[in-house]
Amino acid sequence: MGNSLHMRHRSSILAALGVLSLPLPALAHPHIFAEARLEIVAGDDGNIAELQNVWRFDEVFSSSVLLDFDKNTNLKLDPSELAGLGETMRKSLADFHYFTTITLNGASMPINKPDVIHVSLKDNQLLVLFSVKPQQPVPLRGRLTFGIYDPSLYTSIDFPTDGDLVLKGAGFAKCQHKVVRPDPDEVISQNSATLTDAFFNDPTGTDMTKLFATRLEVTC
Amino acid sequence: MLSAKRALLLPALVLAVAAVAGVAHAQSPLGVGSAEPAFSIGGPFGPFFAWINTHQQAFYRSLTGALKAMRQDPSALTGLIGLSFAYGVFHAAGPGHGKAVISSYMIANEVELKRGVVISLLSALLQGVVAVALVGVAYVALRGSGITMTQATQAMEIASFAMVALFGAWLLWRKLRTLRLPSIAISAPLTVTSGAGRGPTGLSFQAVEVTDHDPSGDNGYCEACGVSHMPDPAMLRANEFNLREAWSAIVAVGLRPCSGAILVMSFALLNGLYLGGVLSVLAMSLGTAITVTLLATLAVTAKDVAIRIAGERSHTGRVVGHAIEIGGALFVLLVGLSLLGAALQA
Repeated sequence: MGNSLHMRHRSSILAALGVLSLPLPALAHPHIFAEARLEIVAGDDGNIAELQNVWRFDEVFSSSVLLDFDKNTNLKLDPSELAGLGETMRKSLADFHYFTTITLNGASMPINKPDVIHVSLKDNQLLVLFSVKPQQPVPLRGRLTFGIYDPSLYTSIDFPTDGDLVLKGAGFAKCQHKVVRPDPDEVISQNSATLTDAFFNDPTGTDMTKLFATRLEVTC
Repeated sequence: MLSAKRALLLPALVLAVAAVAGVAHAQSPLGVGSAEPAFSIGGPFGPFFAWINTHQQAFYRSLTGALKAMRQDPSALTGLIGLSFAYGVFHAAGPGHGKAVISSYMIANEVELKRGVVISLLSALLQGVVAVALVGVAYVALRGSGITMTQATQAMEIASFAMVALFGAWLLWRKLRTLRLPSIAISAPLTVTSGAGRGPTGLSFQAVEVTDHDPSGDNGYCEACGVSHMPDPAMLRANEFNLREAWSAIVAVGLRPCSGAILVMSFALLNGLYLGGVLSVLAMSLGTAITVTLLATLAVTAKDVAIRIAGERSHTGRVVGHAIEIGGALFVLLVGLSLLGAALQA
């Protein structure tokens, strides 16, 4: 076994080639696109009351939904079919916390399931409306962030203008706010070390997507 | 010798497991349409895949834009075909099981590159045909039947991933079986005698125990016991290209249509853009085939280089060859199992 030592010397090169010869799979990418509007409503009690969402989906995804939910084959989505679609989305989005992230001074604030998701079809585009409430009171004190993004990256939620992220209610009068739209290239170069860690520590590899999401930062 | 073999097998195993550990949801987060289960990739390749992701997203958006434009302006077709092709190229560089299965199959099996190209092309084309057929059937027959297109897609996805897992298990079993044959011969060398113990065939077998000997000789041939301890991988490979096996790979991969193709086809069908939809999906398939071929070639080349560095005719070279081939088969099995798990969860 005189060459076993020799073999060990080569093992690093071989391991590197082994990595190369392994087929490498990758991230999902969006197949669904939505233009969004978010209204954050402050209650009279000085806490967040609710987050109101409006999503308008692209025509291509909307047409595949029509094929799926047009039970009576009239190529329209009738009220009962739309209700079924809303309920499907309400159930399914629960696993993705309704794409909603709220943080208070860096800590994540969980939200409740919405009671209902309203869906309509206008000009071949699905329009989805729903509101979510925080599980526990989120006071308007300190640094708050609000973001809507799909952690699985399958849906791309886009706010066309900064005016599509809105603060409502007198409670926000004393607060400052700004819309943050991260530049993907910058996020990658600034976080290359942590991104790698995030990928290895989180087996779903999805948590880092929030770094790329558009968010509203509010300081009260 | 055995420990050396293990030493190389272990990293291959760890890599294979690590690479498929993070499979994301198979279900679309909105509950409509099925997302392709994708793997997460980090490390030095993370930024590269983020870059791929940005580009295929841009191509997808432009191609759906071209599709919408075709409703008013049929001349948008040429642009649509080009964009679909580019999307296919980038899409295949990203997530998906197709390239994983095909390159692993080629690594595990030393398929001739020329044939690898044909397999890649056929599986990508089949994926396109399946997407067109699925949407057609959904439109004509499934609407109102209680079976949604999403459910049909998921059923095909499960079938595809189960086939991938079975295929991997079969490759692995066959590989391990061919490796084991020579070691059986070591413990029971064949001797032909004409003694009393003769059987009905006129041959009798006598076990001769060979214990302490030095397994040295040319090309792993052991002079002490008369067999090759570590046969050359080329010796164990089937000389003939196994057609049935190639079709199994093609069907296993092709059965699962790409979500992008399904979405494009649905939109095209509902807007009466039949030619545009079919040509777009076809162009996507061609683009996909090119990338899959490139990646599979890269994988096979890396394997050859690894064997050459280790010494083609040496013992190490053979160990590396076997380890990579077992790793490839194992990878197909693990990809199939983890994708199947993700698909069944949805």
